[in-house]
Amino acid sequence: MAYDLTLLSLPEVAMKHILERLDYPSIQRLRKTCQQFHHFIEYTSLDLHVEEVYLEFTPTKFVFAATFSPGHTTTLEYSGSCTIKKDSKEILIQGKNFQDVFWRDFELFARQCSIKTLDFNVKGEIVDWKLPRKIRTEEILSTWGFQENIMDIIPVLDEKSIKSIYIFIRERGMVFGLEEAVKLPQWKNAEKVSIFNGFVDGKIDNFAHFSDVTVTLEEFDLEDVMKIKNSFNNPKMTCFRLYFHNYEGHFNRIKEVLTEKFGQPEASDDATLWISEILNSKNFLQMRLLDDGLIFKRLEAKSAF
Amino acid sequence: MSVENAPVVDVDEAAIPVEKKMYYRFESNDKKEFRVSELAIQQSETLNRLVEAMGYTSEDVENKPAIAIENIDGKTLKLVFQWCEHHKGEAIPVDDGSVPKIVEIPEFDAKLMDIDNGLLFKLIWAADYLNIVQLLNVSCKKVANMAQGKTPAQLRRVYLLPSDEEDEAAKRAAQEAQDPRAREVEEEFEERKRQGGNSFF
Repeated sequence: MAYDLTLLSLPEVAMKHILERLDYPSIQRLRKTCQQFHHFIEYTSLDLHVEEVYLEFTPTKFVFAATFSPGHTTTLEYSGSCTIKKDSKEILIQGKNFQDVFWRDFELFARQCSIKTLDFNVKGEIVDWKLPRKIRTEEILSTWGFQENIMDIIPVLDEKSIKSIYIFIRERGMVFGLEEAVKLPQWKNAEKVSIFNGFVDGKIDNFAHFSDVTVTLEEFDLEDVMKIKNSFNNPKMTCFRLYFHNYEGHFNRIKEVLTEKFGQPEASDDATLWISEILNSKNFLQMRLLDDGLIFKRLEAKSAF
Repeated sequence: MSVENAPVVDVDEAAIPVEKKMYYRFESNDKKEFRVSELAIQQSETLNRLVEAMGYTSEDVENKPAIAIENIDGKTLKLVFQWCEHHKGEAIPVDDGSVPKIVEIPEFDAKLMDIDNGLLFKLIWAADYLNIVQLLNVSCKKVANMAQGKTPAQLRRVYLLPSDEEDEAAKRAAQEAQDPRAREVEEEFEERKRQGGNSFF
């Protein structure tokens, strides 16, 4: 080691150490400094942490926005053949369509970054994922129109990383098919699922493994109440918010069933409450009946409600 | 300079052996000798294993030749051992793969690493070679901090990266390697460079 060292002469482990302590924009700038660095960054798997990523796919443009640290968001818009817009600047990459350039960039990003929250929006575009490895994200937030399917996104997420699935249905009242999704390891490994503004045609059994559920079922059976109660025998389950699609008449029917099973409800201002013991546990189950739903919550002790 | 005449550098400020501590002697590739406490050596996994394997007694460390570290020069090794003495007895961090990797640079380390970049890269090289986990952490963090907010041209200067001409030579070598993906990557690199140094971020 008598000769002078440069950054490029460091061992690969040390280079990786340095890159993993940089933010992604700095890495992108380093990538442009010289050929050797460009190659090193291209061919090295890094594990950079990104707070939030927003993806929007439409037939005419793709939008990628990433929050690398609080308050610092970079937004890139890919369109035409190919224009990349960042703030007021535009870059032209001639002779390439925007989809190809986007996938080239995003492939590198997905290989090197793990994401806390991925916000995924698709409008009238069938997404053809061109990724050699799955996207590492803890949370997925997705908004869906009528045509699209949850199967467009869930399979491309890394099953070891995913913890929460949030789905927002754009058209209120849409029935959301889950038959394929519930078979996926990503669904089975996630801990939390929330589906808003639409109805699910799945069965309660498909939700029993989560620790936190918010869902509106298209078809509701009184037996489902007991199934949800039993799902709390799984010590992981903490809260299950079940909303009714067509809730007219449900309130009285459920109230009758719960009163029959658990006795007279506790008095409460805005709802009707029952408390029940959870099998083989010191915890209690609180069941709160609302006009449009039934909320099950695990309590540490009976006095906690 | 012969080994016998080489100055012996005590890097431990409290090195006067009041209590019975074992001090090992190491020699850099430019024949500088260092006396390093047993506890400080534990910061380096490589050296710690080496001395354990040697099984030296307190007489051996005085009478046998200094242990040669052939890949590291005296200037770098002095920094390494100063760091080890200052942090002796501290727990060695375990990389559990967690993100984000947060590293604070203590004041002592910041002063120690207030050196030119060439020497800083040598220090990183040595920390990696001797497997000193926390020294590698802080020195890499220091190098990473230097990149914040810099343009590609500034980064080239800070990190002593090759100029465009030297880069050309590297490019030709890569083309000769005949890797189809490498060629694609190069074309894109050139295209983006042409579009402006500060393009995407």
